[in-house]
Amino acid sequence: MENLSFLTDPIFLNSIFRFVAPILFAALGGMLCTHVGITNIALEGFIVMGCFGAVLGSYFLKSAFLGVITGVLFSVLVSLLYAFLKVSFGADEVVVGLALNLFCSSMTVFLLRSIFKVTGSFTSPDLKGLGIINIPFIRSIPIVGPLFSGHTALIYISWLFVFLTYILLYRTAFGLRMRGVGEHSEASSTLGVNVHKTKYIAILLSGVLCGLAGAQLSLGNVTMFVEDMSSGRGWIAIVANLLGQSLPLGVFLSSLLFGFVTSLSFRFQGLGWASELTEMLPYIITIISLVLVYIFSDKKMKRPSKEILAYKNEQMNHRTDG
Amino acid sequence: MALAFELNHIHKYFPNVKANDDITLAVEKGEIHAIVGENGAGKTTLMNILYGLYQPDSGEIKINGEKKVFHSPLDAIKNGLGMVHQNFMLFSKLSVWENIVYGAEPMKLGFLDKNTARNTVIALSKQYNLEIDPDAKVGDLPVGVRQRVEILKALYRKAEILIFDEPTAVLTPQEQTVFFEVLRNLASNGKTIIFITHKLNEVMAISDRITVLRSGKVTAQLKTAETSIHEISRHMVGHDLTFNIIKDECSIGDVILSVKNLNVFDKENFHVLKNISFDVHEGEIVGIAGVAGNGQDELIRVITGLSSVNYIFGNILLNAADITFLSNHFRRETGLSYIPEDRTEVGSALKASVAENILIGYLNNSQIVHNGIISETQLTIFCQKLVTKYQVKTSDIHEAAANLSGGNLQKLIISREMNHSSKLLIAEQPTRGVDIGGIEFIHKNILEQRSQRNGVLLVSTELSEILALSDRIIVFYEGKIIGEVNGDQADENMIGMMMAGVIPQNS
Amino acid sequence: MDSRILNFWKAIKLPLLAVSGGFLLGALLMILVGYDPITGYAALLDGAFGGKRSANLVGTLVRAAPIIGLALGAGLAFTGGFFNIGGEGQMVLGAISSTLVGIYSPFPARITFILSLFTAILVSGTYAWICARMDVRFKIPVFISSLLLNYPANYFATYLVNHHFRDRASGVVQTQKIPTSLQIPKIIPNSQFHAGIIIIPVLVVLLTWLLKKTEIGYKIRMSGFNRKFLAYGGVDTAKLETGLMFASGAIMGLIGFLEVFGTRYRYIPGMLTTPLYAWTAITTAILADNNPLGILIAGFLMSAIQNGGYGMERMSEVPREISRVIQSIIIMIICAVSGLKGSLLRSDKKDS
Repeated sequence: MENLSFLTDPIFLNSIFRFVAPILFAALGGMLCTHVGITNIALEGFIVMGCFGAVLGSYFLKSAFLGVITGVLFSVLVSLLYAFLKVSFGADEVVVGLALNLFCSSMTVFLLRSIFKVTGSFTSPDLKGLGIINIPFIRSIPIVGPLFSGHTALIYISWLFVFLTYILLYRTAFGLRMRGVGEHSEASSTLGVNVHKTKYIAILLSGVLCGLAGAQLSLGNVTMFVEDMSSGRGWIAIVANLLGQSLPLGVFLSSLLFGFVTSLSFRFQGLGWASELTEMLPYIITIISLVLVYIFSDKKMKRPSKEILAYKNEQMNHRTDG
Repeated sequence: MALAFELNHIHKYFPNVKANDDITLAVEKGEIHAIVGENGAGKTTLMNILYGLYQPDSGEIKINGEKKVFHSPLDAIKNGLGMVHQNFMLFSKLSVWENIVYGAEPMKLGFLDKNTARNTVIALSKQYNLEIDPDAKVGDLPVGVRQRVEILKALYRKAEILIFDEPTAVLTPQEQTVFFEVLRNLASNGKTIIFITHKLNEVMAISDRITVLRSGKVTAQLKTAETSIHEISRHMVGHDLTFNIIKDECSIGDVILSVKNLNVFDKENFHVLKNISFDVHEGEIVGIAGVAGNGQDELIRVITGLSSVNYIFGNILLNAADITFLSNHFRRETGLSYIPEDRTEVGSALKASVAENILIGYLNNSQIVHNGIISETQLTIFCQKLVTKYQVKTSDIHEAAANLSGGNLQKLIISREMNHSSKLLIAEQPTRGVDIGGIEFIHKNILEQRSQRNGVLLVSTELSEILALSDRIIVFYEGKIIGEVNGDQADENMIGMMMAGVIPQNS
Repeated sequence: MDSRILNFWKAIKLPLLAVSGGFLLGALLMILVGYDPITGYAALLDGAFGGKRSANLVGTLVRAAPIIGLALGAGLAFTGGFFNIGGEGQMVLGAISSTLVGIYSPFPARITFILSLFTAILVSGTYAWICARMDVRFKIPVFISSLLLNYPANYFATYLVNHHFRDRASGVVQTQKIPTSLQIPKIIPNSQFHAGIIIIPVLVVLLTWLLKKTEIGYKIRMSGFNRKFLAYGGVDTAKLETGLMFASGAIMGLIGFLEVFGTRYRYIPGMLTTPLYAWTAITTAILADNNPLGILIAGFLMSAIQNGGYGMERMSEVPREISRVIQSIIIMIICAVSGLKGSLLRSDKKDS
C-alpha cells in the first residue's frame, strides 16, 4: 500500500512527461519516415547528435534557445547524410542505420574530447538549460497540475507536434503524397510526385524531431552532455512507432507508456531496487509489448469467424448423422 | 478527321534487343486503335514512349500536329495523354478520391481541399457514366471497379488520348463487356483510345483500326472491318497462331491425386475454396481454367503445402497417402514436383548460381550429396546434363541465375522439376514470358510426362494452352468448380462462359 | 588460375576503396578539428603494430580474436539472412554463466572446464534462439529483438556480479577469479595472448568449409538469397532459422568464455562491452561481406585501427574515437556502393 503512494507524488508525476518527450519526438520522426516507406533505425544516432549540438550551441552562444537550434542543426545534418546514403544510393536500411548510429556515437565523443577536452561528460555553470514554464491555472490542480504543468517549452512543443504531424499527413497535399510514396512509389512517380524529394523531406523532418528530442535530453532533463546520452531511446522510439501503428495518436499513447515505465524505473531505484534491474525495466516492457502486439495481431488473424465455426459444426453433424 | 497523334520512325534500343525498329503510326481523333503482338513484340515499349516513360533513341512524337518531346509522364499528361497500366498504379490504402486527385490535388489556403476533390470526382463519374463510390478504399474494390478509378484518374487530368495496356487481362467476360461499352462511350465523347492486347477476338469486337507489331517492327496496319483473326495472327507470328499439338491416344490409369471436399478459409477468414473435389490420373493432363483470382492460386498452394492459410477442411491424397497437413518436403518425397507461377521470387534464387538453383531439388540424391557433403564434380556433371537436355542457354552453370533470360530461367526451373518424373507434376503458367520455340518445347515435355504415365495438373490463364493440352478441363469461378469438360468436347466459347460464371446446362 | 586472381580482386575492390576512403576522410576530420593527420596516423600505426618488442602488435592480435570470433558468429547469421545484432548480449550471458560455473562447480577441473564451455555455448545459443522463435512464431524481426535483448542481458550480468557474486575481498565490482586449474595458459609471456586464440583460425577454416561444401552450408546461403525459394524446395525454414541463430549465439558465447578463461580469469562488468567488440564485429562482418576468410583479415584490420587508436591517443592528442569514426565511414562507403550496384541490378532485370 505504502509503495503505491508515489503515484500521486507531484515529483513523480512531473517526471513522466520529461521522459515521454524525447521518445515522443523521435517516434513521431520515425512515424513520418514509415509513411514514406522507410524504417529509420538511425533515430538513436540523430538524437545523440541533437544532444551534443544543443550543449555546444548553448555553451558557446550563451542561450538555451540557440542551443536547441544548434542541436536541431546537428541532427538535421546527420539525417541529410542518412538520406543521401539511403535514398540517393539505395543503401540497405539496416546497415546504413547501424553505420550512422556508430558514426554519431563516435563523432559526438570525438568532438566532446576535441572541443571540450573532457571525457565521459561535460557540464558547466555557463551552460544554459531550458527553463521551466508553469501554466497559471492548471498548476494548482492536484495530480493534473504536476502532470501537465511545470515543463520545459520543448515538452509542450512535443504535444503540439502530435497535432502538427496529424495535420501534415492527413490534411495537406504533401502528406497525401507522402503516404502514396510509402505505399507504392512507382505509382507516385508516374503521377508526377518526386519520390526522392519526398523521402528526403520526411527524413529531414525526422532529423528536426530527433534534434528536439536530443535538446530536451541535454538541456531539459539535465543540463549536460554524457557520452551515448540517448541510451537506447531511439530503439524504444522505433517500437513506440510500431505499437502506435504509425498513427499520431497511437504513437503518442505508446510513447506515453514507455515514458511512464522509464519514470517508474527511476522511482523504483529511489525505493531501493537494484539500479541494474530498474534500468532493465523499460527494455523488458518494450519487448513484452512488442510480443503482445504481434501475438494480438496473430490471434486476430487466427480467430475463426462465425462462418468457419458454423462450418465446423456442420461437419461434426454430418459425421454423427453419417 | 484530325490526327490525335503521330509516332514517326521511332527507334528504341535496350541492352540486348531492339525493342522498337522504325515504327510509324498515326491515329485519328475519336478512333479506337488496337496494338497487337506477341510477348516481347515491343507494344508496351512503344506506348511507354508515347506516355513519356521512355525516351526514343530517334524519331518524333506529334500531338495534334505539333512536335513534342516528353521527358516524363508529366509532360505527356500535360499534352492530354493518359495511361491505364496493366498493373494498376493505385494506392490500396487510400480512398478513391485520394487516388484520383493524387499529384494534382485541389488546395484551399495551403491545405488539401477535400470537398472540391470529392465533388469533382463525383461530377466526372457522372459525366462519363463510370459509377464509383468516392470514399471507398481502393483496396476493397473489385478489379473491374479499380479499372474505372484508373480511367477517372486520366480523365481528371483532362486526357484526350487514353492508352490501355492489356486492359482485359484481369476482367471476367462480363466485366469485359461493360468495359467495351465504356470505351465506346469515351470514343463517342471525342476521346482517342489505344489499347494493347494479344487477344484477337477483342480486337475484332471493339477496334476501328489495328497495328500489328512483330520483333519491334510494324508488320501490318489494318482496318478491322476489312480483316480477320487469321490475317492478324499471320502478321503477328508469321504463321497461324494456333498450337499444333498432336496428342497420342493415352488411356488413363490409377488415381494419383485425389482432392476431396476441400474447403479453405484464408487469413481474413474468407471462404476461398468451396467444396473442391477432383482427381488426377496416371497419363492424364488436367487443366484448370479460370480468370486469375478465383481460387486457383490458393488451390495450388494448399496442394503443394506452401500455403499459410488458417483453416483447411477436407482431404488431399497423393498416391493414396493423406498429405493434407504434411510438409512440402514430404509431399515432394511422396511424388510431387511443382513449377511455380513466380519464377524469380519463388522458383529460383537469382543471386545463386545455375548449379545451386538446380541443387535444391536434388539434396537427397546420394551421388551429389553424401553424408551432408556436396560433391562439386558430381553436381557439375549432373547440371551439365540437365541443362543440355532441356536446352537452357547458359554460358557457365557457375554463374548467377540472374544472368539468364526470363525464358531460359523458366526452362531451368522446368528442367529441375520435370527431371524428377514425379507421379504428379503441377505446372502454373509454365510458358509465360517464353518465346514460341520455347513454348513448343515445354509443351512437348509436358506431353512426355503424360506418356510416361505421370499425371499433370496444369494451371494457365492462356485458354488456348489449356484447350490444346488438357484431357480434362476444370473451370474455377469464385472459389468453386463451376464446370468440368472433356478436352475434346471443349471450345473457347464454352469455357469462356463458365469462366464468367455461367453454369453450363448438362451437355 | 587467372580467374581466381580476378575473383580475388573483385572481392577486395570494394573493401579496399572503403578503407582508403575511411582513412582519407578521417584525415580530413582531424585537420578540421585542428590535429595533424600525419602525426596522428603515424601514432596509429605504432599503436597497432609497434611498441617495445612488438607489444602493440601482440595487443592487436589479442583484441582481434574476439572481434573476429564475434564477426564469424554474426556473419554466419547474416549469411542466412538474419540480422543478429545481439552478439553483445549473447556473449555477456555466455561469459557470466560460464564464469559462475567455473567458480562454483564442485567437479574436478577437467569436467568443470568442459561444463563451463558448454554452459557458455548453451546459454548464449538459447538467448539467440529466442529471437528466432519470436520471428517464426510472431514475425518479430530478428534485428529488433536481438538488439533490444542486448540491454537486459548486460544489466542482468552486472546485477548478478554487483549484488550476488561479488568478490568482496577485492573491493572492486567483479567476480572472484576462476581456479588456476581452469585458466587457459598464455602462449606469449607478459601478454594476453592465450592458447584459446588458436581456436579462431580453426573456426575460420571450419566455417569456410561448412558454407562451401556442406548441405547445411548450402541451405544457409540460399536462405540469405531467397528464403521463399528454400521453402518452395521443401526445406524447413523455421528449423533452419532457429538452428542457425542458436549456432550464431553459441559462437558469441564461446568468445565470451574465451575472454574470461583466457585473459582476465574473472567476469568484470564492462570488460566485454567497453571495447565495443560486438559492434566492431558487426562492422567487420559487413566489411568482409560475411566471408569467413575475409572476416579474418578485416577483423585484424579493425583491431589494428582500434588498438592503434588507443596508441594514437597516448602519443598524439587525437582522441581514440577517431578509429570508430573511421570504421563508420568505411561501412557507409560500403553500403553506398552496394546500394548503387543493387539498384543497377534491379533495373536490368525487367521481364519483357
